[in-house]
Amino acid sequence: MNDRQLDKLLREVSPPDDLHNQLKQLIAHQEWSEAITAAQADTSLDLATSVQAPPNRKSLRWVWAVATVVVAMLTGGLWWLFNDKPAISRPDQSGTMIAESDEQLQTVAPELAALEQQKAESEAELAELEKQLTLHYIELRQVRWAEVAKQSLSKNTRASELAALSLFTAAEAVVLSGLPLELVADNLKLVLERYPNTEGAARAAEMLAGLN
Amino acid sequence: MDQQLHERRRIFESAIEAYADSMFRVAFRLSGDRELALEIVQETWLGAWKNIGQLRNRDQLKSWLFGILRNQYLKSVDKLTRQPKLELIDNMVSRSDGPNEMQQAVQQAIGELDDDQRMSVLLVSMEGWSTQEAADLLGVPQGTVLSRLHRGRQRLKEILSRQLEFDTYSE
Repeated sequence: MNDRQLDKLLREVSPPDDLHNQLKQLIAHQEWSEAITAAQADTSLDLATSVQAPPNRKSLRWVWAVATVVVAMLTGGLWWLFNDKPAISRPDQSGTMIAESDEQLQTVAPELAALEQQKAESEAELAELEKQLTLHYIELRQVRWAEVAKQSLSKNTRASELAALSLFTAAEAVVLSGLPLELVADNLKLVLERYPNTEGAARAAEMLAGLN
Repeated sequence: MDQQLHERRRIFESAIEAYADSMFRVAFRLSGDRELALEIVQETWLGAWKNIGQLRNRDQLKSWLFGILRNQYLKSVDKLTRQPKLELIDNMVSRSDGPNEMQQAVQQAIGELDDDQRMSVLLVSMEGWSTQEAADLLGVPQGTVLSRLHRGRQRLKEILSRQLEFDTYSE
């Protein structure tokens, strides 16, 4: 065997036909993932924190316990106020007893106000926890799709389909996070442009129509 | 920020056009498996995308990319050798590039070279790198690359000639 024959044998390797496209899609997907991460870091909603420290069950239980106690106390207070008590209802009671009732009512009023405030605070805390749970869910879904897309790219199966779905899901997550819609519109257009005739593109088109 | 991203994408897209095929060939000749080669190449580009900030000189893009490719290959070898034995045997059995027996013989012969010789032969003989470029990538003097190349090629010719002779006699 001579040098020329050896070189010829060594060079006989044909790369996959769509290697360049696959790699460009991979890079586009990576770029998009980074853009989403950056956008999340900018927002005041602080998605990263919600992922690292999701609301735990203990704090939820605590909130519910406080809310239950507040409601029970409110019900008791109202019952006490409007119950058909003999001291108030009897027409023949003296003015002294009425004055006593007025005094008791004045004593309870600040407590009621405090309880009302506690209830409002508990409700606000619950709403915040719900928001964090939603954001956590969005983030998990995004990570899942990114992972699926990466695996599919490395296994060389239905790459564009999954990349498109991944991009769409990320865009959907942005909408749910309350980020500027212009950002989403641009990226949805990107999905349509890069991965036409895929399910992800069809869903991106629907969302674009909704935004317009 | 957008401009930086645009510029980075432009560099990558032109680098893919210029080097992707060559990287695949080297990854395939190193690993002997098309799927594994594709995975190594993809991981290489992802690694490059994430670490492009570490590239100080654009002129060194080619050797930088192939340096990452080499590391990815070593990682994949490490992963394979940690697999249970039966799985490893399955992988080795599936390592063929279609029915071309000559190509299988070439792959087997390349597999018999030591790592240093193999890399020098692949870069210089297969991909047309200069011996200086290969020396820069491998971090050795140019003379070392030349001697590895010479010994590697001699060994390949011996193995392949023997194989051809065997095939001829066996037919």
